[in-house]
Amino acid sequence: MDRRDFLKNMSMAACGALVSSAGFNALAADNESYYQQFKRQLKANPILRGWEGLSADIAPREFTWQGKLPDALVGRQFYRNGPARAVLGNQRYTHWFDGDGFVHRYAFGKQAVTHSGRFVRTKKFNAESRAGRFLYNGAGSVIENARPSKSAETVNTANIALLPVNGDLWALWEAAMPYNLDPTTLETKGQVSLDNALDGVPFSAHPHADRFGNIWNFGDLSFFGQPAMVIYQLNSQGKLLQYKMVSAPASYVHDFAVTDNHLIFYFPPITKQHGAETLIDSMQWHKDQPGQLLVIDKNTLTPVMQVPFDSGFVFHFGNAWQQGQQLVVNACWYNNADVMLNGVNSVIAEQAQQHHRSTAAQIHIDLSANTARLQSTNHEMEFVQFDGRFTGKPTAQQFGVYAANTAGRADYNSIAALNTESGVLDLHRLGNDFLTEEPLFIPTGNKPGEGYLVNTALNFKEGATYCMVFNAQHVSDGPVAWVKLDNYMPMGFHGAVI
Amino acid sequence: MKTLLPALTSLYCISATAANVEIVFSDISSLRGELYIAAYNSADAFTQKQAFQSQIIRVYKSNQTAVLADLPAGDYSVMAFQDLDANRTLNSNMMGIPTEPYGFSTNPHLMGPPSFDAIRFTVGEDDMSITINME
Repeated sequence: MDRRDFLKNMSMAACGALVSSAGFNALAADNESYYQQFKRQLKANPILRGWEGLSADIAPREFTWQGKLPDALVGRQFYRNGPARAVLGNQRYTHWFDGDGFVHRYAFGKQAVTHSGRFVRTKKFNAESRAGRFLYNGAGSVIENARPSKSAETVNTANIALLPVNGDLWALWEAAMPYNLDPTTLETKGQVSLDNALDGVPFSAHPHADRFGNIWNFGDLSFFGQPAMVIYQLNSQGKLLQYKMVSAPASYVHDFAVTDNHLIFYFPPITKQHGAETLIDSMQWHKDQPGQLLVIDKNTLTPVMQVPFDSGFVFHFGNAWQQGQQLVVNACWYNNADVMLNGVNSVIAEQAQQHHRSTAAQIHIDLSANTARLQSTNHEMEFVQFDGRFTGKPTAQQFGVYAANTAGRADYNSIAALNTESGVLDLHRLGNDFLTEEPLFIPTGNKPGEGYLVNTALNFKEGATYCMVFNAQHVSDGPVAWVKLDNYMPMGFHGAVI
Repeated sequence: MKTLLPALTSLYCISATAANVEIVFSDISSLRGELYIAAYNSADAFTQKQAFQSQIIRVYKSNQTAVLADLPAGDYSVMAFQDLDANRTLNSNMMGIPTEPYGFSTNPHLMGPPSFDAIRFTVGEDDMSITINME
């Protein structure tokens, strides 16, 4: 295991957590396995607790609320998915993204939260559990004596996101089909087959509902070498209404934005080269080439506009809407794809300051002039959320994780509500001992942005994960209710509230 | 007995130029349907889907075996799929990717259909066993 792999794991942390320059200077000789390296580093560098991982399901335990849970949230369930099995036998994945999906459930009672968690029983999880070792290379990790994987489905970890549908909870990855979970027991019920022709076809991790009860998603076929995407339209019950394959740049795309009439995609100037051992190693960034914006008409599922756009990278989009012939699209904009590909280089160079975080930005698209421009800010935000009742309508409030005074680090230590019209920031700093995860918005009342944020965050020094509730209109007041779990949980990605 | 010897000797000679190839199908996850097995003995035959030998066997255990009997010495490739829905066809999705279990001799690391050469193995004078991973 080489130094680069070790660092690569940490570099990915910039996506929602951190890269600390501390601790990277004392790396062992090359003959120490990554499994051993991590174990040793963990003692000196507790921030690594965020990526230590889990090895077993977690039975329900109750934790009494501090503060007071708003009545509107009593009886709700908050879920989070993320990579968690990073170790099996004596091998540790070198890449954060590769851990098997683990779903946490926080059931909100009036007095207490009940927390439980369970690994998604994917085919991969079951096969590797039986074998007692990892069998396949991951998106970024190389495994000793790896078996060839015939398709992406073989290595589907279901570890990115969750979609509540029709009383079920779908666990999503981005290059394969969803797994269906029981929302109470978290037991895996099987895979979701939308149509025979779609078996084994990617259903990405960021489906979006519009105001009309449709669920939209895409599947990136460039994982299979095809410069195309599948566009899906489902009804609110998760039934497939239609799908269509459309030409699209072969790049890497994680998320998209939805207006009343359009779906908007951004393709960074990334190509995938043949012959690399892992997907991420195959990705090449072309800084001198533009990205591409693609606008698809929701009614016909056909592209209506494709234009070159700034060279950059986007994991996540916020709300988007149409005003006349203008589309306004909120996005977390990276100036380059280091977060996906090369973050490691600046760590090696001990230039941690150069770890670019994303900033809250807007893409303005002129449909009649066939042009688009980027309007960025200095607000370092990721994992943005908004009031989903107003998808496709102009909204000003955007919620997310935020970086405030994180000198020398590339993580996000705060929760924020940013008014994207006025620039007013409503911020709560959890402090530099915390790594924050995506806050989810739960609407109450009728006004846009009226509601609560639920969030989890890891205090890596204490070794405890917290679950917190904020008033979305008074974030800087701090959490109105919170619990501290009895242990620390690995850093996860996306969640859902039922 | 003496009169039988020449006949036995000639039988022995035939078997010396051919071998039985046992195929172990590993990691079969659904114990149902049938395995369709086809062995090809040249690139041309492979391209034209002219199997030298083919078999259909019922699946009832996770490491099902089959035997290709008396294969003359030479190079072969084997393709197999598990027909789960009894339509005698390897089902595939809109991208053309199979949606029923399948496997190839040599268990190559590849995405997409193989060539004869990519999955070729050599049969000599001795009986042999190969494993085809079906997961």
